[in-house]
Amino acid sequence: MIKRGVSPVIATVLLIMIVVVLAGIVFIWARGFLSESAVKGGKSVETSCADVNFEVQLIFNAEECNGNAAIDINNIGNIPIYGVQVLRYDSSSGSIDNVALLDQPFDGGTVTMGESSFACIGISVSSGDTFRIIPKLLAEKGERKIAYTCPEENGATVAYD
Amino acid sequence: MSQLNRKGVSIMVGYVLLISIAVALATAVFFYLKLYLPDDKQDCYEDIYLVIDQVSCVKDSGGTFSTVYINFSNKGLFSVDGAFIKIGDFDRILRQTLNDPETGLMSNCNNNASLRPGAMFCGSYRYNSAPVGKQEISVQPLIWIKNEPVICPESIVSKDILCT
Repeated sequence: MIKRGVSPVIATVLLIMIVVVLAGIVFIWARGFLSESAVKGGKSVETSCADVNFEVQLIFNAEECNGNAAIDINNIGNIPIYGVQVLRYDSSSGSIDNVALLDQPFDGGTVTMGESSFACIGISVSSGDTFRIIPKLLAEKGERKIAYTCPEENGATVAYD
Repeated sequence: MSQLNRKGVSIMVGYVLLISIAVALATAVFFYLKLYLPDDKQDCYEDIYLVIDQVSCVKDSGGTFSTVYINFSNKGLFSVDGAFIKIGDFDRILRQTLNDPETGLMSNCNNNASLRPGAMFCGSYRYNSAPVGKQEISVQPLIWIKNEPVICPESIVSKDILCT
């Protein structure tokens, strides 16, 4: 009987290669179900969101918006703010509305470091309304540029009293 | 002589192969996870401190714009490489930037692009407004760290003025 066979080292290498190849196949297959991470400056955009530093103020009747409500923003940090998502909390009904705004609602576009700007929010504001202003950053996703909305914890709350 | 073929890769080659695979996998995991690690954040130094010594705002005769005169001093422990000099209505945070912050702080009172500790900056700027109400002027310092501008959110100084 011929007792030839692969050596234990070859067998181990083969096993590892098979596992690695299988893991690769599973990874590529599963990647389709996971969202591709957005990147800003070679880093995950979430890390930039944590560094955003801004002041925000709700203006009830802004001259620049023909007497309608506006949001003033003052970027006192080093991360440019591309836009904002505005959520309105209605204290009477307890509902949360997403105020429809353009991707870049600010006068002059992106609010760069140290600059300030305003955005007309085009809705009527009543006493007791509370707004959560969440910054959006310009990020890259693959080949595309996208407006990435930061997690809500990176936002700021303003109220009309 | 045994017919068993005992040829195979040597133990040394086996180890080299195993280590190479481990290193390749570790490198792949490192680059994948590096994306999620926060950068070395460049923060402004703590002891940066500016003081606005004097500020005034003079409207032009036509009432279309104003000229803002400002003097401020560096009372901190580090040089300041630039500043955002901004003005706006007292009751709003919306501000118009009067200067180009990245051009430095050379002026008639200061011969260097940076404002060294103890030095004073003086400048005059056109303000595209002739406002009636109280205004607020603010100065936010900026420093360069590793060829990147870093602004100092904790060191903003401001003062109220009336344009006359």
